[in-house]
Amino acid sequence: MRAENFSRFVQSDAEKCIGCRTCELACASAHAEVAALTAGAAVGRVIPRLFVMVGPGATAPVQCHHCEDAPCRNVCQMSAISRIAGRTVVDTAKCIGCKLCLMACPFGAIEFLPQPPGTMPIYGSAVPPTAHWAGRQTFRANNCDLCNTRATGPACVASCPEKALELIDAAASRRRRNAEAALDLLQVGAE
Amino acid sequence: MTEGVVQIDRELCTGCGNCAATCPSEATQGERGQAHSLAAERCMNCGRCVQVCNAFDSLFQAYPTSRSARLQQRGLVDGLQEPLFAAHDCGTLAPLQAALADSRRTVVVQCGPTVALTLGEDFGLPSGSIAPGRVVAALKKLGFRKVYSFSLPATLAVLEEAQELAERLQAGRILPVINSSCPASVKAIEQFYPELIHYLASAKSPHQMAGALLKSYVAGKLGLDPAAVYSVSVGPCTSRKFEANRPEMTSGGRPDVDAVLTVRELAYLIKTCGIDLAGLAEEAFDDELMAVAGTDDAYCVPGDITAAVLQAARSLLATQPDGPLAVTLADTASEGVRTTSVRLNGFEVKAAAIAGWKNAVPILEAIKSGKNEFAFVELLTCPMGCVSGGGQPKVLLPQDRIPTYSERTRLAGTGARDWEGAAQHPAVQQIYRDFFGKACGDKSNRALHTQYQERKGIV
Repeated sequence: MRAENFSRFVQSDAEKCIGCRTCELACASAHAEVAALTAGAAVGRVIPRLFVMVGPGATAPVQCHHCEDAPCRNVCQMSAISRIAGRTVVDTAKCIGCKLCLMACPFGAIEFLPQPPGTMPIYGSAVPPTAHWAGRQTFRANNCDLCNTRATGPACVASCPEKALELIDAAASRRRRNAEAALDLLQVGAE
Repeated sequence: MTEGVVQIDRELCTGCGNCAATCPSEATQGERGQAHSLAAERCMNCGRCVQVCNAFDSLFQAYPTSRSARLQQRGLVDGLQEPLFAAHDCGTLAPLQAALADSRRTVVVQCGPTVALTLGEDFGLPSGSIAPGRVVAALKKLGFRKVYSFSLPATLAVLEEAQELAERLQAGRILPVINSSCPASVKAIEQFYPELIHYLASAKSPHQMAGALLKSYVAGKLGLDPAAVYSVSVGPCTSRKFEANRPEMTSGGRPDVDAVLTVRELAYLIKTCGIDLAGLAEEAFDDELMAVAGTDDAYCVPGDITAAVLQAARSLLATQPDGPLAVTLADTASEGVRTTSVRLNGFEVKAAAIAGWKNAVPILEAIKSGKNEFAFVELLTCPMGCVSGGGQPKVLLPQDRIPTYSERTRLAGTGARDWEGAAQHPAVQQIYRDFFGKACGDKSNRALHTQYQERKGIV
């Protein structure tokens, strides 16, 4: 496989992130059945696919890296996780909620979402109900889908007020770093 | 620490600083990354922070306080299903619901012009898609016995300020008249510019005038003891909640406005009571407080009040009418400041309409140092006036905020209004002559006038 085929992922710059949670709201809105303009129209608990971690001295959202050799995919006993067009995708109909993927993910990027019909309304990533679990509250694995159905790309990137989020193209990023390093070397040489 | 009407929930706050960046009075406290709080003695209760805070109660985080306890802390009712945010204003829904359920109380409500404009947004409907008559029907269904339009109190507020402007122009002193209808600006002037409080118009804000009328004029018409009347004001504003609690805003020891509801809170009530807003048949406002056609949509966007007061002032100053006065406000180099210059019966009058407290500071400083050029200053704290008020439906994502406020402004419009004829309206004449027994501009009229106090260091 050539580096140009690397999967893409959203990465945050912890230096820029202020922890405002706007990305989580944007994510939920992008995955909600009907996107809400106002808070009052956002009926239900907000369920995003990325999670802002608030730690001492730093904040950053964490989401799926769509790993090339994804531990979650390797560990799944139900073959519910597959790679589709560079994305790591959970088939919620196959998922039994065993949580092995959650344990295997080095970023903790997999969250278990409540599957309706439950008592709790959800604003964001609702997992479609499956026949054998109909009528019962259960949980299914879910991860970032890079907003693959959204024409303008990931909603979290578009809404970040600090421009702290970026859709990373690893190969392009590497080439840029190469160029920067080469320039640095030239400058060092010139001094 | 004494808490104000607007607060920051330290459990939900992530310390991102968005509130501090938007706060016009530097009332937020706390380091980046640490939970913030608000200094009540600096806070104007404008609710800018309420509008921009995105730190919601995440399902994936454990908080010491349960959601239902949090709702209770905020004066909200159980059953609310939308996300809760760190910056919030405290409500009075529980006592209001108790009053609605109490057969000995008559709960009456006055409804401001922006309510119908924005209420639908919290139901996923476009701005302006709910007719005012549908809001009346929803309020009636919630148990409000009488629902009144804002237009007569709005007209009285304009006339009282116009009279004050006319008098001060004739006396040639204490100019400018600073408009007093924005309670956040009034509190900020008391806090930060106490030397300017005598420039503030003594006229109460329109919703406080309405509250005083509901407990006197309207109670009398309905044959009710004022003590049995529970008066509610619905509008776009969080700072009205502070204003309604001022000791000056009482009559006979009772508040003129018992409860202030924001548009957001009205939406909560409608939802938790299971009312289908879009499916309601329109109903008319009650007429004990008569509507004054064409004046109820003032007080929506910046400049409305300036145009109204200048037009009304001219009719008070003119010996004979000479056609309608066109008031055109022009942008200036200063953000949020528009000005106009008109001729009022021999007086060359410059007026400024300012939106956004920070934009007002240079003009207030100029007044302080004797360099003022204006005769009238309209001062609204929120960035695009009341359509962007702290109690309006909260726009979820930052990129949608300005387009939504702009759309509300467009829909509010600036229709042609007959302010020059307002003083002659039968409802206005009747209330001054038969009820007050006092002329327009009489400051002993406690229903319409108030006083201000220096508030440095006072909550």
